[in-house]
Amino acid sequence: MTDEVVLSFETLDGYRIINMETCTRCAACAQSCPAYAATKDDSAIPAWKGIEFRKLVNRQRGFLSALLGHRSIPRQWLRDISEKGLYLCTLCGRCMPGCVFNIQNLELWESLRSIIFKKNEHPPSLKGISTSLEQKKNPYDSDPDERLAWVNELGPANAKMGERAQTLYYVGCTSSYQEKGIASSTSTVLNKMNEDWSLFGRDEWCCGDPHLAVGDQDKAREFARHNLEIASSLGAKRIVTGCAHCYRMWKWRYPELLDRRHNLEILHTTEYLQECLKSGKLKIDTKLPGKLTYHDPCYLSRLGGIVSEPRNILCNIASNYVELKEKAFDTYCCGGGAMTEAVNRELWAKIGGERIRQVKMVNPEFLISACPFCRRSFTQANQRTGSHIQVLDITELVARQLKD
Amino acid sequence: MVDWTQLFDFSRTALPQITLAVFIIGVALRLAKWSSFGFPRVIRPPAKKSRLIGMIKNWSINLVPPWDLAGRVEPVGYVVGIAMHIACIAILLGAIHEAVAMRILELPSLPPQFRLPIIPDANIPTAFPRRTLTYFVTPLFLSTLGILILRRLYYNLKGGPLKALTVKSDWVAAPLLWASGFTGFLAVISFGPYAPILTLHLILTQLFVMYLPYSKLIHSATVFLVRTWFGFRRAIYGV
Repeated sequence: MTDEVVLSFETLDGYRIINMETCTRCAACAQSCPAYAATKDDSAIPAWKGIEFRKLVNRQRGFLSALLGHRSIPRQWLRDISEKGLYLCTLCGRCMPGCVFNIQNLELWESLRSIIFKKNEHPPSLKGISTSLEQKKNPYDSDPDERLAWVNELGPANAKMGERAQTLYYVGCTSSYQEKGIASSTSTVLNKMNEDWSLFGRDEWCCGDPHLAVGDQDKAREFARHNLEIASSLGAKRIVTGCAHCYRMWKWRYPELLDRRHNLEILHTTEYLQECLKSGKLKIDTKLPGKLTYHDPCYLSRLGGIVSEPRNILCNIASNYVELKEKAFDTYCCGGGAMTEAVNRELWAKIGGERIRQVKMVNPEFLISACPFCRRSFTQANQRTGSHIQVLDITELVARQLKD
Repeated sequence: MVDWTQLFDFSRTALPQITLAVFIIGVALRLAKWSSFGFPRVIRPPAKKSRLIGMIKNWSINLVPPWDLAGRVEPVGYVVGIAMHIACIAILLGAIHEAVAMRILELPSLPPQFRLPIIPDANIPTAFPRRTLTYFVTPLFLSTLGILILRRLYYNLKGGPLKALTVKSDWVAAPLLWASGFTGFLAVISFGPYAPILTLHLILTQLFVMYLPYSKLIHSATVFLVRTWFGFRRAIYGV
């Protein structure tokens, strides 16, 4: 392998460069970054990554290179960026509202990850995820035949698979393989609402979000194309998903990646449930006794645009609903984004633990979220800290409280 | 021995032309660099809210970053940073206002009803409170900027995030701005020998202007784009 490389900045555009060059290295982003708070590692600070990225760009496209010609990049430099700070990040985007200029770092890190990926300098754990996605269409190295194993527990008669339907339920890999309760609860709710719905079945592939975390935008595009083709072949008008990451991909990233809008209505389960509540289809039996709080998943609120819907549902269910201090657009990360559990388990555990500490300050009995990654992070953090807070997904709670 | 008269003449004759040329080349290089990456149209679903409202909100109620996100850990940097920028903007606006007002007043055919009122004791025939600018806003600006420079120095000695984020050019941009502001302040209040201080001020200010497009000081222009884009983003996502 050569020691010097030439980078292609095809994932970088003028908007991103201007964002990058606006940074004054004031360190305000260090205060809002959950990864820096957890590690106190200077290279976790968003601006540190910005400095390194800028140096890389300037080396090939800066003022001096305009005069002296392009200079190649030592491969060791890329390795250092990869090993130090680039992956000490959950891509939660909390640094953006925390920045005095509102620099949109999330897109910058995606670009940088893509550059590092193209030179094959991404961490080995992410290489494993890439292989799993390529071969098994999920990031967990799980057997594709096991994707629908949760249906057996529910009863196959209760879930159509790969059939034509108005509404398709896109389960997502984490709910299919790890947080199966979310998948079966969503199916239960859809059946109760007499929805004309079906699962994608065996043709469901990962949404492509882990590809973006790895830096493989081409593969993310390929997976997006596949999933859209399946949805189209099943005659779907809308997609319902319970995963915040999948929702963001379907709703916001697929049009960007494929450079075209699709005609599908994309709903997160919280939007679907609110719609059912408003139409009177969804009736809640009794209000849940006990204090309940809600954690906004980053990919649903800050990066997805859904803030009020889960609150409207929970206020209908809970008799004692309390808000967390770090909420809505400024919500704290659970640690689960960007496949951090696989890349840096210690970081994942620390961020999840910190969020549980924040949750404990309002002393709830139930912690509700709306993303399988958050549910998983909090369940594990709960166990580690010996907390007795019950962690549930919003769909699980609704399924539990449904009127017969 | 420095010949201040010659230097003063140079700072008012040849130097402004050099400054302007260096500045324009810098801006042109920046623009060329940005445009070389292209500005592709991003396809997204229809925005949930009006982009205009998003932009306005990001320049008004969301202008200051939330305390919990950007201020709680290091309140001094947060408060001083905000104060410095407000003072800086006030000085710039005051200077622009004064220059414009002076130009208007110099127009020979200006009807009397358009002439600005004269403030007694203000020594300049404009409505702008120059004394406030000189004796309150400028010292505020210099002291807050000074604190920010010392803050970077302190953390570079002590360690912490700011040490990891400091690059060599950080020791040029802010000190240069501070020095040009300080000499300007001394000249206005007639402290010390007037000609050398004014000459120094003119040279430092022009060095600052030359350096601006090549340094992080470019944020004074790009901030308008970046904050507006983030306002658009919030509007598109509806948050």
